[in-house]
Amino acid sequence: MFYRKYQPTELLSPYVECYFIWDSEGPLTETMVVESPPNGFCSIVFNYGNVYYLQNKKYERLQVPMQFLSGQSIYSYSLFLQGIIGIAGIVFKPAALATIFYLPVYEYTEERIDLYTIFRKEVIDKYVNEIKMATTEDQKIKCLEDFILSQYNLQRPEPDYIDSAANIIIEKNGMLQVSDLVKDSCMSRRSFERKFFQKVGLSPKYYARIRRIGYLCNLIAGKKKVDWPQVFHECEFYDQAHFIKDFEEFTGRSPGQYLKENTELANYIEKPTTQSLK
Amino acid sequence: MSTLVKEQQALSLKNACVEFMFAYQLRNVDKMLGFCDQEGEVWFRPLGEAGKGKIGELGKAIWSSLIDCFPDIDNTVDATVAEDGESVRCQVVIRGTQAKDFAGIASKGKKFDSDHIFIFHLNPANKIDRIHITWDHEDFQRQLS
Repeated sequence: MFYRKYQPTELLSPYVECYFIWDSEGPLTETMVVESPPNGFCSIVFNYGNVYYLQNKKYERLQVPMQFLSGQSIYSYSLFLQGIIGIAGIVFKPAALATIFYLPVYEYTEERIDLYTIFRKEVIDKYVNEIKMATTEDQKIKCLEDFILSQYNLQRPEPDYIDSAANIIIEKNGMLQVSDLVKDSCMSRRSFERKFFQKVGLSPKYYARIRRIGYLCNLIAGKKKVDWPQVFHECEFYDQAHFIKDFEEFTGRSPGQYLKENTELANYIEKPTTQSLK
Repeated sequence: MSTLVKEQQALSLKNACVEFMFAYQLRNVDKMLGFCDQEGEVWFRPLGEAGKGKIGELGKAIWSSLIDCFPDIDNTVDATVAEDGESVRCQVVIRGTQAKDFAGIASKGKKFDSDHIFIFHLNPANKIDRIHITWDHEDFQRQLS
């Protein structure tokens, strides 16, 4: 099994964080449960393997559509996978779905929406078939890139300050003062928050908190022992109480429990490094 | 497929709830009520049975009083999640500075900043016909005293 990430071309780098392929290279012998903390990214995913299921705070067992848009997650979720894993996806920068597709992102929080309900059938049919037929990873990634490029050429998106502000939150892993972003925006706090909510789906402060927890979980992923005081200082929490409050709110467990019980993908494979497109 | 279509309808209901909160931000009670069925039920849950009434009566009175007593009252919608076919959960931070006595809390000119959960239910005409609101009332009182 492998999980690989790929960088987008320069033209799309303001909108696409990365592409990924997750492939079991053959059928699983038993059900695999993979959990993920909220990470601050939305995605578009094509499943060319077997059907799988999702469990989150809202859904006890949701059959995930074979091709879907994933909105912002605000809580941890688990995937239940059987048979063949074959998933190719586009991970978007936080405001990109609104900027490229003019989609009302706040509608999608905690959801997996079938792409056939968002895009024209012939468009989705084309990419579903091409990804299924592609025999190499590079071909699959090229299909994903073509999908975005076709939308890019159609919409001619123009990123605005909200795109930049959301990307800064990502770059700084949520460790920043949102008031500084407001100051630089030449907008009132209220306008900034409202526009941010409409393009990212969450308030800027809440989004920064989620991003920081996502970053923290990535730091500890796959580890059996963690120096917690060092981690919460590294993630610039005001104190231990704030750290525990945020951690429990977004992951649903205490840090100690999480370390003991979590079944993140990093427990099954080596942490992926991002590769360039050929 | 039919489940998915139903889900989509539920998602589009979020818009009325977000607009309600934006109207609250503008301190415009009439506009807030414009998104609601006035006969619908509102429950300010930490106030117990006394916090239960009609949106157009108790809701109107409490929101008007809040705006009067906290003239700079403001909110930030953190997230909205469609709960089931007709309900939407809004996580909201409400903040303001007390200028007048409110609900037995004497004004000391202090500020509050409080996480609130609004659960909105919408009727088939896309009007809000039930609002349940939860917050940490002890913390709210503590901040103002």
